Amino acid sequence: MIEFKGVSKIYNNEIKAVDNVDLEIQDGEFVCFIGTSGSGKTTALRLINRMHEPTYGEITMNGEKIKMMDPVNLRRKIGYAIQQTGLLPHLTIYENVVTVPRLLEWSEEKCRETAERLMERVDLPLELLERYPSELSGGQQQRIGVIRALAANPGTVLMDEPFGALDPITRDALHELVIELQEEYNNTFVFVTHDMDEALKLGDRIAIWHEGKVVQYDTPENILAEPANDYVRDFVGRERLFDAKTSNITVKEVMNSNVLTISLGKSVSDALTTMHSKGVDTLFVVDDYDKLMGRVTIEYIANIKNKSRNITEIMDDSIRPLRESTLIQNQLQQVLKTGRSNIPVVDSEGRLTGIITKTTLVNLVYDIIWNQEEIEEEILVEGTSE
Amino acid sequence: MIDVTQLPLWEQIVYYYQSNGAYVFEQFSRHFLMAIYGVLFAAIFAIPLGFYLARTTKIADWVLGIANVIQTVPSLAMLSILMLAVGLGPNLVVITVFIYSVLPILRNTYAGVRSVDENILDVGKGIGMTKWQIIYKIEFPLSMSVIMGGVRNAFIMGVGVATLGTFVGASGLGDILQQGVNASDGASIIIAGVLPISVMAIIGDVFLTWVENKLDPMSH
Repeated sequence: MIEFKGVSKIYNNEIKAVDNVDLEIQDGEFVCFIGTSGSGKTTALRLINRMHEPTYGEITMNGEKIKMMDPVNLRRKIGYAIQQTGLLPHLTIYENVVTVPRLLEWSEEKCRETAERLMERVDLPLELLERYPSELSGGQQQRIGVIRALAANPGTVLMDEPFGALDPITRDALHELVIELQEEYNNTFVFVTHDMDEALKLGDRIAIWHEGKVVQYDTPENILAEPANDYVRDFVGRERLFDAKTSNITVKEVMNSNVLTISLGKSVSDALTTMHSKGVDTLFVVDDYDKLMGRVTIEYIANIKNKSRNITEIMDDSIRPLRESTLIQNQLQQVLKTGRSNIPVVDSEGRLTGIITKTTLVNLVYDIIWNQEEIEEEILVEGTSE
Repeated sequence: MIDVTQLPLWEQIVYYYQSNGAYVFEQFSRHFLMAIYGVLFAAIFAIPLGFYLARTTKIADWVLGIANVIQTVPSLAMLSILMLAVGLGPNLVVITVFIYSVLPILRNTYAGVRSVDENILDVGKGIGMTKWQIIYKIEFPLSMSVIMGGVRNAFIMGVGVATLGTFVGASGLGDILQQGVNASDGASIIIAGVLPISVMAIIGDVFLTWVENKLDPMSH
């Protein structure tokens, strides 16, 4: 675990790059530091491997103060990759990859074996090991930068906007790679970026930096759901927040929980009475524990001669309820297509908790479209006023 | 006995080499050694100083400025001034070559080390290289070719300065030139002296350029 305790970094006695920050990063966690340039995110990253020393406060790693550790040994235990790759141009790819293992005086076989394993892991041909960095494409160079950071299997890996200069397709591929590698080796990652999409995609938790302070430190879901303040809201971007809002709506949030039921054992005439008094054409049949068993509709009842029959015998038990935790986004199409007027919603135990009607969905779709237009109009207005 | 002066010029030169071969060779090696010693000592002195200056840019301007001023003193004047302190002989020439070689080597070392990509240095430090490892694994190999460029300039200049050795009793190929100047109809002797000096400078230049390119980190 890495812990920042009241850490400040002040330049020239006045510029507070990092301002009294408390932060903790769990083992095996992927944390993204995000912020505009000058927000202190890079400085904070570089405090971890003592490329900078804090002016006040201290940083501990697994309870040990890093101030007390030898900086060279500390850095050899921490992977480090930067945007400009920083590959040594006069050394072959192989020599670049095994730089840290060689500093740690690993045997030549172990170095070779590590390099080949990592090259295969990132889908690069082994022939490249004997080439020089200038002979590789930008994406390949950055892959080498990443595996160099991982070569000595460090517990912690620091990355400073490593993919900032790459094209979107290469960058996506490298995101996948980094996620896989992190899951495979279970390193702690601290990843600096200014790209919100990148942070949302990679981070277990995201620390949003602003003027040297962490304004919010939380999971991507929580940041999208509850931005801590206007700065975060602006930074995350309204469109993204809106997307998150619609895509995160569960069935439970939009369902109508005022649902009419009838219990097992009641007769057809009981059902008819209830329908008449409430003015509905459908009742859901539940057992004593509110568990959904089936439904009766007026069309069914109308064809039954013997009104004293038990509804259990005549109910339609082929209904497929929705789970209340399902995202509405995934179900919208299906619900609209099946054309049923109302769909029962159950909780994880199968208990009936509400219904989704066509009206609910129409309202939802209306809200989404209406809101989107409003946002688009706002953007348009802002755009022309600039 | 042939009358040499009646021969065509190039035959006179050939005749001079035939009869004075050993003497020319001795002066050649003497000349070469004076130049190379001066450059070598300058390199030993100026390369570490260049590395130091690259880290302390505040005093770098001063030191390079002083070296620039020294460079503007005419070499004959420099020899004369130093003669007062060192006395006559080859050591004086070696010291003069040394002084003239310091600037090009120092300037190139400084520029070479400063030109190493900051990101590479940052990563070197970040992955746990010691200060010394950063120097010999990163800065030195990456600035080597620029430093060699300075050594090459210094050597070519050193060959020129060593020619003046004849005036301060250090001998060298300048002696042959001097004889040619003093002799009547000495054109052939002057050319016989100029040729090995030019050959030394040109071959030195070609060789050191080759080394320089060989050491260029981007040459593969």
